[in-house]
Amino acid sequence: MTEEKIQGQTDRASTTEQTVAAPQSARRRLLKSTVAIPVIMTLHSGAALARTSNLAGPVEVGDAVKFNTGEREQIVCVNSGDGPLDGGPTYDLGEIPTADFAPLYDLDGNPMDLEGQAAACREEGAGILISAAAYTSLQGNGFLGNLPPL
Amino acid sequence: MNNLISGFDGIYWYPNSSLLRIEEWDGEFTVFQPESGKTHFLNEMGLRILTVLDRSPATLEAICQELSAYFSLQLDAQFPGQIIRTLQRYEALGLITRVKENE
Amino acid sequence: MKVEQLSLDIFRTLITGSGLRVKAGPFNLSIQTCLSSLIDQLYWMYSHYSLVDETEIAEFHVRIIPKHSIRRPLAQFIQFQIDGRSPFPPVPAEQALATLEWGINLAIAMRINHLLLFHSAAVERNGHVLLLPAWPGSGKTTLCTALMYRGYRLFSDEFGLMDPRSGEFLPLPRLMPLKNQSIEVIRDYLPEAVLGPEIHGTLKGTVAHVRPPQESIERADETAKPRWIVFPKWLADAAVRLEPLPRSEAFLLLASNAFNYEVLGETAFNAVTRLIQNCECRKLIYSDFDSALAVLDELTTDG
Repeated sequence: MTEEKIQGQTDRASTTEQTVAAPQSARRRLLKSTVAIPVIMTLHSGAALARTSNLAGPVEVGDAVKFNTGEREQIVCVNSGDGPLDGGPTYDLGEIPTADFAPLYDLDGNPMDLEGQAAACREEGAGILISAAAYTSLQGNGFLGNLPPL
Repeated sequence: MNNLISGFDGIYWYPNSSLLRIEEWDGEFTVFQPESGKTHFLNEMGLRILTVLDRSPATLEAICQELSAYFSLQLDAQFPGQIIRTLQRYEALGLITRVKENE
Repeated sequence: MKVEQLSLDIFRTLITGSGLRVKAGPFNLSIQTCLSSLIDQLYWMYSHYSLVDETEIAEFHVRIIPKHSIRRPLAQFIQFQIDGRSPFPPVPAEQALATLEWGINLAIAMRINHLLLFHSAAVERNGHVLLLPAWPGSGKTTLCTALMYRGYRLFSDEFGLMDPRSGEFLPLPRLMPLKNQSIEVIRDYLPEAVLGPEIHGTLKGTVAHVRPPQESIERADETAKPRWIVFPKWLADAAVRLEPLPRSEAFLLLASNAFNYEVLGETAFNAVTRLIQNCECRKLIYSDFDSALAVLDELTTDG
């Protein structure tokens, strides 16, 4: 695959953003940052897997898991790809929680601080910030394998 | 980067099975692993690592070079770390095995 | 012969005796109970189901039996049993119908491994199956009810039953449990819908079951190939949108929502691969039935 092809894919993803559902577009935008790293996710069948709503409630920026990814601190954004549940206090991450680093830049290319990253993560209900404990637990259950351990 | 790679000097990885069932979905892949019965979801680079190893056992450095050439990437300091984590994950899933040179 | 052709007395004799044997899609059920309130409800709610001959094997033998609480001797409790075992704790007798229906679903989900079981509603239009997989906030049962009363044939509101060899889907039309606000929503939108009693205080809140239409039950032997997979999402005040869903994502969502994907191993992988390859995958955002039905009608209209 050439860089042009990679660029072509991200371009297509970017174009798709205009037409797909809001949570989906945010997720696609987050995935753009993973083009240049390998991603593996192992499927867990729904029958065997308890939902994670008791484990992973949303937290504020100060309590959220984040990494120094070189340039500066980057927040981890977790979602189920399908938005929040009925405005309730808990957040169901679905059968396959997914996560990625929140974007470092806004759509105009301006750098975003942690609050800005968090806002982008939550944009239109696409994702939540979770605690380090929840993050470790999810990784221990085989999720979020595309991200580093704490 | 050099420190990271040197920790894996002389270590080769090779695939455990050549019987993986692979389906492509517009540049993303579902992979069925018969030994474990598990289904994995990989992006193009994730799959490329497996195809590199399927061709011949390779070291971390060789894998990084292959990926760099194939995807036309400028390698940064974090890249080998990402690859190590992926190799370790593949190893834990039973997709690949490591062997020390001259073992 | 159908349940509605029996007198209530004969129905009662059967269900309190050796068991009421009815056909539910590809399965035969034997139901036994002495609880008179449940007997009356089942006589009405199961009226369109066909009776199964004594010579045929029933896959599931289920019972609702009375239980007595030492702490609350005057309260009436019941318990669901399957083949003499009780997977649920006792519940108040008023919850018997909901418990029976959940129990039968649990038995199907746990025991059926010759078919691939997706956690999904399934309806048929123009000879092909539309799958509406379950995911948080999908409201699949409510949407499925609306579709069912607007010309779609019910396969199931809970199980997408797929023969992994042929790729055919099998109907399993059963009572459909509406929950909480959905009950009023359906009463308002579909006054013609036949609903059972409101059952309060269950683990899932208030539940009322929709009785499947007669036609869906009578045509339960007519299988069909899938053609559309639509992941619905109800979102307050949202304008309706029906958009493409990447197929890799559809694969993951569908497979991870299957009850027995891992049990069936490579057979399931092959079956889901073929299913996704042969279907149009969409995501539906909606806030009202009229607009959701309009886009689904358009999708499922041949042309």
